[in-house]
Amino acid sequence: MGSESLNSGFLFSELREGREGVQFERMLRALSFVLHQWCQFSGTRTPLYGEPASQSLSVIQFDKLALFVFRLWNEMYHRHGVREHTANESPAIDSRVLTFPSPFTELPGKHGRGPARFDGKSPPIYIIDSLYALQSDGIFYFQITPPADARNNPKDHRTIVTAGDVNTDTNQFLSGFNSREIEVLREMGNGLKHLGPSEVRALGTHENCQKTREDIVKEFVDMRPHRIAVAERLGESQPFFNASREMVEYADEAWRKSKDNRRDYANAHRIMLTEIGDPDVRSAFSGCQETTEHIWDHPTIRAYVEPAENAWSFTKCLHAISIYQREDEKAVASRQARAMWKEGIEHRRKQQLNVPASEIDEVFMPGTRQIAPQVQERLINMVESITL
Amino acid sequence: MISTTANPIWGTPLDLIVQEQPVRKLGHRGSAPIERQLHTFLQNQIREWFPDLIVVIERKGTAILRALKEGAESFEWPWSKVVSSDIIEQVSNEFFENKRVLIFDDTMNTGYHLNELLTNFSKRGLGDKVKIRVAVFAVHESSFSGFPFQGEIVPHAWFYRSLTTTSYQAINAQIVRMLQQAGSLMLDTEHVEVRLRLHGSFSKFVEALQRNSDAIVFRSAGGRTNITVLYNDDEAHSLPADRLPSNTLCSKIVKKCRIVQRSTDEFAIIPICFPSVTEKMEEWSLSRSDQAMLGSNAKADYKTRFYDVGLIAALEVLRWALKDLAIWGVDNYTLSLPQRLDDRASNDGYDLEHLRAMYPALDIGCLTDRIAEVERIAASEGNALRAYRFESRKTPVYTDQELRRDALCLLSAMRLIADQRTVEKGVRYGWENSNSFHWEGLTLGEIYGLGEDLNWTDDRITTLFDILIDEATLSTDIAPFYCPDGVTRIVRTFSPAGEIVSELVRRYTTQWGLPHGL
Repeated sequence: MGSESLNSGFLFSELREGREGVQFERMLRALSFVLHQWCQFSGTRTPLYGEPASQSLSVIQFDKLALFVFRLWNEMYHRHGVREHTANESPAIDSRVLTFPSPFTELPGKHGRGPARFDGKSPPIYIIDSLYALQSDGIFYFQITPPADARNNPKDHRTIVTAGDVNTDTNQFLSGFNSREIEVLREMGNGLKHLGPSEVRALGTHENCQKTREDIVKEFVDMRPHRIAVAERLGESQPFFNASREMVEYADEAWRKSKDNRRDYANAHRIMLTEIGDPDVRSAFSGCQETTEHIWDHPTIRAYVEPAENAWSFTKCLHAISIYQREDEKAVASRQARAMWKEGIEHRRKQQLNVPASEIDEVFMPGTRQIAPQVQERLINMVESITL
Repeated sequence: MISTTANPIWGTPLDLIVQEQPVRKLGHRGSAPIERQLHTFLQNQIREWFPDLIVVIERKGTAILRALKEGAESFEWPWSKVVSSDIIEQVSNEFFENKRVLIFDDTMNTGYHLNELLTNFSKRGLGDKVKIRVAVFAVHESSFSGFPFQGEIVPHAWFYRSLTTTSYQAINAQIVRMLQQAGSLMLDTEHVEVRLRLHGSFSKFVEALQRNSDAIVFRSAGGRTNITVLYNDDEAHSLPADRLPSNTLCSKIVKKCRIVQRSTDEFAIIPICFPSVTEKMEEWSLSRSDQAMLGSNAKADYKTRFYDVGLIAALEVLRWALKDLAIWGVDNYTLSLPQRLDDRASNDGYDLEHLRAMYPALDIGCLTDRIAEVERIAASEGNALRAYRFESRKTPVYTDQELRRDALCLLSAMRLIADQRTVEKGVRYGWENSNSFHWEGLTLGEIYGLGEDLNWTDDRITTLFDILIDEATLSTDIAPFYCPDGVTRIVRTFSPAGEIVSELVRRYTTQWGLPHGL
């Protein structure tokens, strides 16, 4: 037993006035610095879906970049930070340690976690909303550009993010950080700049097997109400466009997380371990990012691949039907529906999964947009089979 | 090297601010001790309004009343006329009808608990059959206008009003400190207790308690020495299933004994046990003696069942503790058992009358006799084993500083998980109904699971609970929980206590980070 008593109000005595603001400001500056390094990089990196190299990230990729930067920073803070130290004890702190953790919390979003703030009273404020508000107030650590038809919605998936213009003189820009913190940020930036956008996204999305497992399960759980809605609408011969669109999104995420992200994550993990020179940062990286094998070779994750592929390819077919079925369907939509149907069917054939019909036209009764009764029954059965 | 004073990242310590004396809105400073202020406030309410009954809002209500009754200035009000808000739903309408009910809350921020209680009265059709007065000691400025109830604005009376958050926190801290100095009263308002005067050495006392269990020593606020003894789910510490309702779960539950120092060599032994009863009413063959002790409505509803089963189980835990002490040797201590109210000579001894607030149907005399019987059995069992040598468990020793840091980490972790769950519900179901899914507590099993991630043992976690409960930063409640065997049971849940504490915990997490491993 120690001699010191647990004095009342011990929660108060650990808290500081005027600290969070400094932490937020510095963490955002740190993120801007890392993004700036990524944007300025002129070397080769894996392009996204065969597109030419880009100097900006989509909002989803940026969100994952932030998630990863804060995660690695926190890991370093836990290993080489001042957490054990209280300001009352000592007047000095070694400048070789990290002095603060990321003030953002990882909170659930529609398709996985994101850095955010939550006060328990109002909905959480995700990082992109905070940054867009700052930009609107003339603080340009980042340049956030929502699409022209959604000017006030930085969360729109088409929004792009680049580093702000303020980042010219590194020493000045990182003023207030100690030398160790600057070294850590440089290491992070040096590693990250070699990653393609999809690799950044994979690294932020995944960190270990347990969370990956939970994320995949969550996609299926969140898909459930839409699955039920589609089955009901099908049973009533009603259109189901909105519900099937939601199903496609959840199924796509489940498939990415259970299988498709593996390659990007493996590349990202390998590149980071190659590029990070500082042994402490490298060790912290390994401590907070499990290896590809640890995550995707785990029997549970392996067991999720088949249901996720089934969901992915089937929801493609299903949504293609719902597009095709719409009364206001135009030629463009029809082409989109046929392409989506083809993608789904080809995948199912390749995976030797049963198909609702060979061609999309066979789904409907001749000359109508009504689904043929035998296909309708098959579709309902298939919708109900979309589970883990 | 960086100076902490020069580096703005450290900020200014917050405790300097909250130690300020709050200012009464009426213009004069509350310079009298908080105990005196509470005493005056409540006594005035009683003198002016002549209530028949006081309903105290938990978590601190009963504890305050007990502190006042046992304090230097006697507070005359019988426990038979006190009802805890925790069990309001279990008390029949007839009990309240045609009575003048004084509802007492120590503090009011959003008024959520008060509103909930008053709504309960209304829903039960008691609105016009009961005369209600609401008295709140300290009201936050966010509740300045109060809220309407039956054509009147509540609260009807207050001692402090329009308090800023800082002053409100300061009042809260003073009340908590008063309770801590009164002897961890936050804890023993719903539990039985036996007192012990120690003659032998303290370390041998701890060793005796560690004979077959883990015991951790810490010093709580006010410098009181505490021991938390955790009883594992082993054969020696199994509960009597035949005396509990069918399908009651007795593993991964709260099953411990707290030993709290009352004075230099006097300790209170407080057994605590809460088996998880089924939500659905299962068969319960109550023995005649249990039935007599628990009173007529023991089987009434799951909440009553939960607490009644907890009382029976706590007596079993008491037996384990007293048995371990008896093996050590009765000449090392003197036990002082609770007395029936009728048997108490003026100021000698103590009774368990305060339990009436939580257990209105309980026969306190019967319970007092049962405790005496438990002591006899434990002494007999212990004496029979005295000849054997036992090796005490080697429970790890933690410093108060370590425990204090871990307690904050645990609170942070719990707040994070509860927040993540709230956000998940908001994302899934929309934020329109978000009020309905706030304040969800974590079960003990979930918190032990968290402990595994943080490399903490169960005995360490249960000690952290005690520290946080004594600090009034952790709330306990009960809630239905879907168990892995497919049965929904009523379980003990834990969550950071209230909006103000949660806000401080979130700030703590922001400033110092989450515990590593989450």
